[in-house]
Amino acid sequence: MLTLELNHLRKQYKNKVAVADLSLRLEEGVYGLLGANGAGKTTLLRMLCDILKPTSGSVLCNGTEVREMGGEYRRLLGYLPQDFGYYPEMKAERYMRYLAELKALPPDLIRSKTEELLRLVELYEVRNKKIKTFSGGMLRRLGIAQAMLNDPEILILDEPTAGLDPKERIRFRNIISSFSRNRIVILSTHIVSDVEYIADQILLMKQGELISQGDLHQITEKVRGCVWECVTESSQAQELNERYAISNLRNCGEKVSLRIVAKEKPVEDAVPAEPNLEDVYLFYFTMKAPDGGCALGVPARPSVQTSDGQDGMSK
Amino acid sequence: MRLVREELYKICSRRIVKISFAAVLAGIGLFFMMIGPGDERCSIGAGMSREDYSGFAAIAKDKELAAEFEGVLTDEVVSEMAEKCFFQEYSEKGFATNRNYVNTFFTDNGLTDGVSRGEQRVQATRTIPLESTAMGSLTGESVYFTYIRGWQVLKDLFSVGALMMGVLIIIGLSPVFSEEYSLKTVSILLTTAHGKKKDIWAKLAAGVVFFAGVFGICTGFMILLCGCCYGFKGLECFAGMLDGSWWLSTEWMASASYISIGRFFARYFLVAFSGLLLLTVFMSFASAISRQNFTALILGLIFFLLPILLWIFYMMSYMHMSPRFSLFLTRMISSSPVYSCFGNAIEQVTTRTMLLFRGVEYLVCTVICVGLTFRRYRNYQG
Ligand SMILES: Nc1ncnc2c1ncn2[C@@H]1O[C@H](COP(=O)(O)OP(=O)(O)O)[C@@H](O)[C@H]1O
Ligand SMILES: [Mg+2]
Repeated sequence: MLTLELNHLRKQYKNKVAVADLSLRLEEGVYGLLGANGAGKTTLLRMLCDILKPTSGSVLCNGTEVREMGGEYRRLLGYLPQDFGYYPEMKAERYMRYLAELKALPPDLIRSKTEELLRLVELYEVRNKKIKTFSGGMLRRLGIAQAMLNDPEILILDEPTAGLDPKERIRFRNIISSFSRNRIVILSTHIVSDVEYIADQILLMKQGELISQGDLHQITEKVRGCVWECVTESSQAQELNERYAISNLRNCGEKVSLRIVAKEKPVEDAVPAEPNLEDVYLFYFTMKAPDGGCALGVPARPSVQTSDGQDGMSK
Repeated sequence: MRLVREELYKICSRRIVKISFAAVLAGIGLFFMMIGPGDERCSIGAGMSREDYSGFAAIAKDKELAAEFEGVLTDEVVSEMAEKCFFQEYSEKGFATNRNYVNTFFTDNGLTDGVSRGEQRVQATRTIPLESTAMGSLTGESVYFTYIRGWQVLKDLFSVGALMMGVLIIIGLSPVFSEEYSLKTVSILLTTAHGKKKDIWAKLAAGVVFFAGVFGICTGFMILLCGCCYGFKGLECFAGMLDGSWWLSTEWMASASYISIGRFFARYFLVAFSGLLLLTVFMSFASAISRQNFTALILGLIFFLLPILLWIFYMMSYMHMSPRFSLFLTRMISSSPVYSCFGNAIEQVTTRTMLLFRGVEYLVCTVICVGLTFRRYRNYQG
């Protein structure tokens, strides 16, 4: 069984600590690395891939330092970087073959594997088109396909769903779910619904630190009692919006139905609600207070981004 | 091997490389027409009966003329030449007004009492016995005369062609590593099984193959142009005939042993090849340390052209240099890629120490460049 161990991993850029003393043990399964932009997800994943040198700490694969394993480790690895680089003038199929070559696939497998994966991500029809003609979603899919070329036992995907439309996103989840048996899959995202469905384990990252870890149930349990629902006048809703993190806001007639994440009961008639991952996200990411308490005056957004928003791939 | 092919494809498939390559071939063709057929003049006879030819007609006439005297050069042949083809006459500006292949031959090679050197022009009145000329005595062998005009053109053509190849290499190889940075493909490449080792060798090898291909095609093209236009004869003739004023050059005189035109070119091509190979290796390094293709391009141009500045610096201040330093500097300059392109190949590798100097210098540069390329590329942090 494959294990990845991070030992007091730390990365500091000048005076900015991107990843702070992170220790973690990963076994087979799908890990969803959830965190706001700038939380240090990319930095962490790049260190896992051995392309970024940690300031201190180490990454061990089955007990051996990955830096020492070198090519052996890279053979196990599939990586989709956040800003996926490609050769604009190259055709998709050629690109895949080139990477298959780099990934040391046996020559007789290159053609079939390329075809299989291009079909899997539904790019087979456009395999002879130059990559520069691809849309953002097609690029992401190509990126996912290249990462899976060598049947990696460790698949690291940095924001794999950025730029995908809902249908593509569902398809992606299915691909990953069926692929993840006996493998370690780590995917980072700032989109809650991505991990909600496919991740066995959720890692919440904030300012370079792992603030929470566990499966969906364990994670959501932690905020049980901090999620409230109430129906108020729209004037009061405005006031609540300024004071609390609102995870959902819905107009029903004259009144407004609110879902509030707060440690104490926000209003008299608020009733506790069943927490979901979005609430967890709000709980951890929009509250400044160190104890995770619900601070006042936090400019909370009405709802967490659940569909495709901005991403780092605007090319 | 297949990785090398992929990397080679990446180099060759860029539009700028294709365009530059076509431009280099066109440039070679154009320059050939300018210094070759476009510049040919052949005058036969004197006074009123003189006939002047130019271009391809001049080449045909020169060939006819030369054919009459073809063979081992003797005093009789030289005086017959002078009788039939006349001594060169000069205009006020110093141009020979009645030049043809034969009288240019005996004038430039110092077989008359005339002078045609730099600004100086003295019209000849008689030929000189062969054994008292450099050509007759220093080479130590009998001189075979035939029509070798094509090789003279090739010598000038190749020096310009080689410079253009140098620029093409700089353009073609500047993105090999830097593009991976600027396109951000480096993150993926460095996480693949071969990405941190074999692929780097493949990239280096692809650069060398690219250069060898460019060199082979361009050189072949130049040889074909000259050969087809002027004929392929005369490769076993004395190389001094290529360059009229060889007997005025101290390096040539110092090295004067009989060397054939064929061997001269073999040596010349080898010197240019090695020089441009060094440029190729340097370009990998330049590319690996540059985040943008353009930076690598500029670095390459600086490396390529710096020796010319150094040479100017040397000419201005060699009086103040210690002899050792001055020697070192001139060797560095003359073994640089750009000077390896020029036609003084003979002068650069005449002695064993010069060869050794060149060899060691190239080896050291290669090891350093390859080492740093690996280091920089493998540890690229984004
Ligand atoms: N090369 C770098 N130099 C300086 N700071 C960096 C660099 N890369 C990332 N950072 C900083 O490290 C933090 C974490 O970045 P990143 O890992 O990209 O976060 P995420 O992927 O979660 O959005 C950010 O604050 C970012 O500004
Ligand atoms: Mg990121």
